[in-house]
Amino acid sequence: MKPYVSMTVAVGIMLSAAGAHGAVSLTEEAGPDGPQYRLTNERVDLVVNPAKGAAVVSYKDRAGGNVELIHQAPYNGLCFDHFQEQVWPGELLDATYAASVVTQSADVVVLACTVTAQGAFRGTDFPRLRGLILEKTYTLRAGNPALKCRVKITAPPKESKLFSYWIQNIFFAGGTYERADDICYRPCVRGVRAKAAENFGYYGKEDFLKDFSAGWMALIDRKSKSGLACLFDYDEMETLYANAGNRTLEPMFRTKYLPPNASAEYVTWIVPVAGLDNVVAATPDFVAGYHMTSDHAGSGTIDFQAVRSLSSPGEVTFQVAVASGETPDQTVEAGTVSLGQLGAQPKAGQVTFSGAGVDPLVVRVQATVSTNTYAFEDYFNGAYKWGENITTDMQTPFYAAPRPKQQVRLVKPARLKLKTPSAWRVWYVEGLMDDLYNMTSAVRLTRRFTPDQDRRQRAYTEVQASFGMRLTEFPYDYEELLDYTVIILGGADKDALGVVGVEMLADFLRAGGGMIVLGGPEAYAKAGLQGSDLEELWPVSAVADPFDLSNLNGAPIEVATNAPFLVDLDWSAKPAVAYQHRVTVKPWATTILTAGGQPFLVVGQAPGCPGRVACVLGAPMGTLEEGTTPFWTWEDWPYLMRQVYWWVMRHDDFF
Amino acid sequence: MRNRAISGWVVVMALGVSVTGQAVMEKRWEWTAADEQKGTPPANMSFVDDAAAAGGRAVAVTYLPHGRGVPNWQAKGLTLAGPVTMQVTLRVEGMVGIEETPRMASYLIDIATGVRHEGVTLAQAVRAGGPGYVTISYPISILSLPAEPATYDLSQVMWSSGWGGIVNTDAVVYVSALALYANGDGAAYLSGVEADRTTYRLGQPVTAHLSVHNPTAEPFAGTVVVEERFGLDGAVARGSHDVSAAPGSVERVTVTWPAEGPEAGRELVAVLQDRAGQALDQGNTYYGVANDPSLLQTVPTYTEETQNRGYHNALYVGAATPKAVRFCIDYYRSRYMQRNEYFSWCYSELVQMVPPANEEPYIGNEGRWWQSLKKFKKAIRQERVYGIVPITYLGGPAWGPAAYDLVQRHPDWFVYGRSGALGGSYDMENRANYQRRAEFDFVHFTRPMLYAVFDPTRDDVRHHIADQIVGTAKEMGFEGARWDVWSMEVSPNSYRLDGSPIAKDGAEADRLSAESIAALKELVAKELPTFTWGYNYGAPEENVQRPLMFAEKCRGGGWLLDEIICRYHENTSPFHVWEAYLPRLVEWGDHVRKLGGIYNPYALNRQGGKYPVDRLYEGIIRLIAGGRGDNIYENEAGLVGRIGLMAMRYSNTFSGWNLDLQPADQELVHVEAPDTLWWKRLVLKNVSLDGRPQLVVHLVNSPAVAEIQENPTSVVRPAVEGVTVRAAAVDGKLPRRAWMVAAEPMRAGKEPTVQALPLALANENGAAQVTVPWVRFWKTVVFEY
Repeated sequence: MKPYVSMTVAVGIMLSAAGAHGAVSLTEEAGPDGPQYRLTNERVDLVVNPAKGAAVVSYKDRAGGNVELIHQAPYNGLCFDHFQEQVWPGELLDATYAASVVTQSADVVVLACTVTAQGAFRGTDFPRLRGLILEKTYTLRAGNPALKCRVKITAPPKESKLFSYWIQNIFFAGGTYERADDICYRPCVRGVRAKAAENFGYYGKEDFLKDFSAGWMALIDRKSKSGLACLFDYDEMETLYANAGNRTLEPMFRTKYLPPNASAEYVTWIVPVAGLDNVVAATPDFVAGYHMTSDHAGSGTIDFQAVRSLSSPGEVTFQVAVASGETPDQTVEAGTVSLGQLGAQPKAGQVTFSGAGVDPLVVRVQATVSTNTYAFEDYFNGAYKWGENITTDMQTPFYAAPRPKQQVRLVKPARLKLKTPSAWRVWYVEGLMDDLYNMTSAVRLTRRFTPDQDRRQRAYTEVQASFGMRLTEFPYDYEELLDYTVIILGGADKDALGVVGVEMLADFLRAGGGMIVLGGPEAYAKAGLQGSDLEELWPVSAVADPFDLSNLNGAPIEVATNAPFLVDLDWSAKPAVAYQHRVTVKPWATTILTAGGQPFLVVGQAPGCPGRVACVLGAPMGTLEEGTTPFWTWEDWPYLMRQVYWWVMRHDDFF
Repeated sequence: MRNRAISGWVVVMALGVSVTGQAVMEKRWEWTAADEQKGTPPANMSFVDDAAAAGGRAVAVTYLPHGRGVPNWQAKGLTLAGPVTMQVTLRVEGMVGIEETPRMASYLIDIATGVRHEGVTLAQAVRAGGPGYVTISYPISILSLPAEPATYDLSQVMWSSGWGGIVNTDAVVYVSALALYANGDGAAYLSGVEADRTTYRLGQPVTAHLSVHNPTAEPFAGTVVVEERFGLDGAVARGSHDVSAAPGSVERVTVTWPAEGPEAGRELVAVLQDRAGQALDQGNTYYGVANDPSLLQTVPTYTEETQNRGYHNALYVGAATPKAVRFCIDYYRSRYMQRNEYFSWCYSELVQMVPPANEEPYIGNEGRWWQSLKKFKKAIRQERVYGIVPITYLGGPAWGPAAYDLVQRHPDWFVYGRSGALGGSYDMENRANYQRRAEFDFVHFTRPMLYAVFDPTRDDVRHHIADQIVGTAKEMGFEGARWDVWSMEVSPNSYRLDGSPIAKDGAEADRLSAESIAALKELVAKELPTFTWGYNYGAPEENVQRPLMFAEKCRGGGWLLDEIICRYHENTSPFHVWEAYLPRLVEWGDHVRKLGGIYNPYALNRQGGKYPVDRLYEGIIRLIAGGRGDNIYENEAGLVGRIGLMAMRYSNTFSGWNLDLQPADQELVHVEAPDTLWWKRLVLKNVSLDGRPQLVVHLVNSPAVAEIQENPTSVVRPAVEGVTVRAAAVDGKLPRRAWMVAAEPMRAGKEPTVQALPLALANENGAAQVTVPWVRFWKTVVFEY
C-alpha cells in the first residue's frame, strides 16, 4: 500500500502497546438482519452488518462528538463493496456475507466477511464477475483510531476474471448532511479540490476526479470540524469519486485482470478526524489542514494543524515553501513548522512568508516524520481574484502540479501466447483522422467474414480538455487480449492507453500478435510512447520533437524494398504524401516504402519477439495539387493495407 | 400598450390637452368575498372573517403546491379588446420583503382561436404585508389582447411558486376582491397603439398603427394625436389624424415617418380626441431607434411574472409548431426585444455554419438536437419583420463534421499545443456514430465531435472565417454575431503544425489577437457594413494580459459579455458581498463604455440570483453599470417597477455613450441620507441628447444583507424618505433643471410607473438642491446645467 505522494520509505505502522491505550473489543450482537459485530476501542465504536454487504452500518468517533455518522437508511455505511461494471447498488451492497471472528485479543480484533459474486444483477449477467470470492477483513487495534479494511478478491480456480473494484463510504460528516458545510477534500494536480453541494466553482462538483495526485480523500463537516479520511493505494486508483461532490468518499480502482486462482488486495484505512475544518494532506502518519492569508503582494501567513493518522508518529515537522502560480519554479522558503508528536487533538504551527510573488500562490510542504518523508502541495486561490484554478479560457488550470507516476503491478498469465494464432480477430483503435486510412475496407478484403470464428472490434479515442485522451474500451483481460491476432493501433497516446495498456500491448506482441501502427495527427511522436516497452518492439522509434510531421508537398510513394506483400498493386496513380512522420528506423527493421526519401512504410520483427509490426508513417492529411492522388484515396490503398495485414498475420503463403 | 387609467375621471396632461372625457376603463367582471354569490366559489381556499377586509370577509389562501392549476375563479363570454387589467385586493401574512411564493394569474382565452392571453402578479409583503388590504393592478401583458373585440373566457388561478423553486409554505394570502377592467361600451377608445417594429435603424420608416374601437351605437368621428418622446423631455409631434368609425367597428390609423436621431429609446403616445378636441383616451408603446439595436436591449424577456418559461426554444432548437413560433415572436414583441441571439445552432461552427442541402433536418446545437433549417430561417424572417435583430452565436472553434474535414484538408490552418496535439477536443466514437445518422433508430451523442482552433494570423484563415460569416448572414438574415469560446485570439502557448510558436510571448499574442479581430471585422464590413460583433471573456480578470485585444473587441460597439460574474455569489469570490460587487460592475461597465463597447454583465448563476432580492439588486447594479441584457429583474407587484423598460426609455441616462463615472471622492454631488442609501460610487457626468451637461446620481436603498445569496427571505430595508441631493456648480453654473427618473412609485401608495418627473430646484449655499421624497429601491436624479 502506498497511500501518499513521494514517500521515501515503506510504511511502517508503529503500534503502541495495547496496555497504554486501553483495550479493543469485538462483540457479536443481535441486529435487525441477524448477528452483527461491534468493534470498539478507546476512539471509535462501529458495527459491521454481514447481512448488509458486510458494511460498517454504525460509526462513532468519540473525539469527533461521538455522533452517529451513518444515516440509518438503506445503502448508508462504510466499506461497501461494489463492481463498477454493475449499476448501483449492484449485487454486493445487499449481499449477505459469511462472517467469522479471526482474532480477538486485547491488542487487536479481526473480523472476516466472505461472499462469492453471483455475476448477476437486475436481470443482467456479468460473467466476468461470476465466481469471484471477496474476503473482507476488518482490523481494529487498541490505541489506533484507524479501521483497516482489506478486501482480497480471488478468481475461481479455472477461470480468469476481469473486474473494476469500487469501495463506497456513504456517511454524513458531523452526523448530519450539510450542503454547504460538509466539504469533500481530494488531492489533485490542480490543488486539493474542496467541494460542497453549492459554491462548487467553475469545474462543478467534480464527482469523478481523474487527475488526483495522492491516495486519500476526506469528508469534513467544517462546522463541527470532524469527519473521516480514507487512505488507499494510489497506484491502483482510477478515480476519486465523491457523489454529488460532498456526499461520499469512494475510491474507484482500476480494472484488474486475474488469471485463474489469482488474487488482488485492496486496503482502505478509515481514519477519524477531529479538530480540523479542512484537509490538505492525509498520510499514514498525519492528517493536516491549513489556513493561509496573503496580502496579494507575496507576503502572508500559513497556519497548519494536524492530527495523527493510522500510525502513531514521532516528531512531525513541515518545511514550507511558497511560489507564485505564475512562476511556480521560483519558490521562497517560509520556514519550518514543528508539530511535535501528534495525537487525536490537533497541533498547530505557523509560518510566514514574503517575496513569493503575485497571487495566486502555490504552497509546497516537505513533511518529515521520523524517517518518513512526504511531500504535498496546494494551489492557494483564496487571495486570487477568482476562486477557481482556471485561466482565462475557463477550462485550463492556471497551475497544475506534476502528477506522481502510478506504478503498475499486472497479474499476467504464466505464459504469453495467442489463444488461436490462426484466428482472424482484429482489435482496432481508431484515432483522429484514422478513418481516412480506410482500414475497414482493408480488413474486409482480407477474407470473408465468418461470424462464429472472426471478430472485428473497434475502440475509439476521445480527447476532452480536462482529462486528456481516453479510449472507449480496452481488452484489459489477457484472455480477451490474447484472443486477438492483429491489432491496428491508430492515434492513441500514452494517456489513452495508460501504463497498463502499454504494457499489455507489448505483451500482445511478445505473445506473437501482429500489429499495424497508423500515423496521423496524434500518432508516433505525439503519442508519447518513446522509450516504452511497446515502442521497443516497433521497427521505428518516434523522434523526441512532438512536431514530427514533415510536409512533403505531394511527394510520391516509392518502393524501397520489394517485399512480397507488394504483389499485385497498381502504382500508376502515383499515390502521394503530404505529411509524414519523421522517425528513426531500427537496425533490424526494413523500410518497404518511402516518400520524399523518408520512410513511409517500415516493417519488422524485434529480436526475440515473435510479433510482426508494420508502421505506416504517412498521415492522411493535407491538400495536394490538382491531379495528384493522395495515398489514402489511391484505389489500391486498401489492397496494400490488406496485404500488410496478411503479413503481420504471418500469411506469407498468400503472396 | 400598457399604461391605462382604470376607473373614474382621468386627467392626462398629454400633448398639452386634458383628457376629461368619459371613463375609459370599466369593471367588466368582479368577485368579492363579502358577496360570494357573484362569482364561482374559489376552490382550495377557505372563507374567513376579517375585519380589515371590505365587507368583513376574505378567502385565506395557504400554501398551494406549484402546478395544482385549479382555476379558483372563472367567467365565461367576456367581450374585450385592447388593454385589460386585473385588480386584486389582498393582504399577506407570514412573509417579508420581496419574498416570493403566492402567484396569481389571469388567463383570457379567445374562445374562437384558443389563443391564451395572460397576466401574472405576486403577493409580496413589501406592498401587502401591512394590516390593511391593498389593491394591486396588473395588466394582461403576456400577449396583450388584440385591438379587435373578441369573446374570452376568464380563468383566475392562484398557486405557490418561488423563484428557483424556493417557496414559503407558511405564507397566507387573504383575498377580499377581484375585478377585471377593460374598456366599456360608452365611448370610442384606443384599442391598440402599436409600432410595427421594436427597433428602427436611423432612416427606416417608423409605422404606428392606432386602432380606434367604437363600441357605441353612434358613428364616431375624431382625431388621433401622435407624439414621439425620447430622453428626459424630448418630444416630436407626429401629427393629428382624423378617424371615423361606424358603430361597432374598429378603424385603424397608420402613421409613418422616417426614424430620426438621436439614438435612444422612444415612447410613442397617442391621444384620441373627439370632434370638440376633448381627449377621450390615451395609449402608448415603446421602441428603440439605434443603428445598433443592441444599444437599447434592457427590457427583460422574462420577469418575475413569467419566470423562465423557455418560449425561446420554439424559435431555434428542436421541432416546434408554427403556433409556438408565432407565440414566441409575439411575446418578444410585447417585451420590446431589440436583439435575439440564436445560440449554437450551426451545423459546423465557422467551417460550414449552414448545413449542406442534403442535411435537413440536421443535428445542430453542438450535436444536441435535430433541427430544421427551413423552420429556423422562417422564424428569423418572422422575427425580422418586427425589427428584432437576429444575432448568431459563434461557437468559436471550428466544430462538427465539416470541421473534421477541414482539419484533414488543412491541418496547417489550426493550432497545436506544446505537446504537438491538436488544440481542442474530439470524439472519434461520436464521429463513427454520426455516420449512421440516416438510420431511424440513430441516437446522437451530445459530446462534441471535434473542436479545433484556427490560427487567426493566417490570411487564408481570416478569409475563410469572413466568408463563412458573410455567407451565413446573407442566407439566414443575421445582422450580428457573438463569439464564444474563441474569437480570433492567439495564445502564447499555441504552435503551428511545424512546431513554431505563433506568438513569442503574451504581449505579441495580444497584439496578434487584436490584429486578427480587426482584420476579420474589416473583411466582413466590406460586405456587411452594419454587421455587429459581440464577445465573451469581457471580464477584467480575463483581460489583464490582453489589453489590446479587449480594446479591439470593444471598438465600434462590441457587445461584451462579462460572464465570470455569474459566479460571484460563491463564497470563494471576493465579490461575494454587494459592496464589492457594485463597484466591480459599475467601474468595469464604465471602462467598457469608454472603449466603445456595449456592456453585457451576466446574471448570477447565469439565470439570476438565488433569491428574489438577489435578482433585484443584481438587476439594479447591472443597469447602473450601463449593462444590457434580457434578464433584468422587473417586478411591479413588489414596487420595483419595470426598471429594464426604464433603462430603455431613458437610455441616455442609463447607458448613454457620454456617461462618465466619477470617483468615489467626487465633490460635485452630495446626498443627505442614511449610509444605507448608496450613492457615493454612483455619480456620473453625462451629456443630454441635445448636448447639455448633466450629472446623474443613482440612489440605491442598499440590500439589507451584505452578502449575496445570504438573504433567503428576501428581506428589504424600509424605504428612505426625504433624501436631499445637492449638485455643485460646474464652470460657475448651477443646474437649470432636474428630474427624478424611476420605475418604482414616486411616492408611497402610488403605482410603479416608468417616468421622469421634473423636480423643483432650490439654491442652497451655492448648490442646487432637490428633494427626493421616497426611495423604495432605486431612483435616479438627473441635474442638467
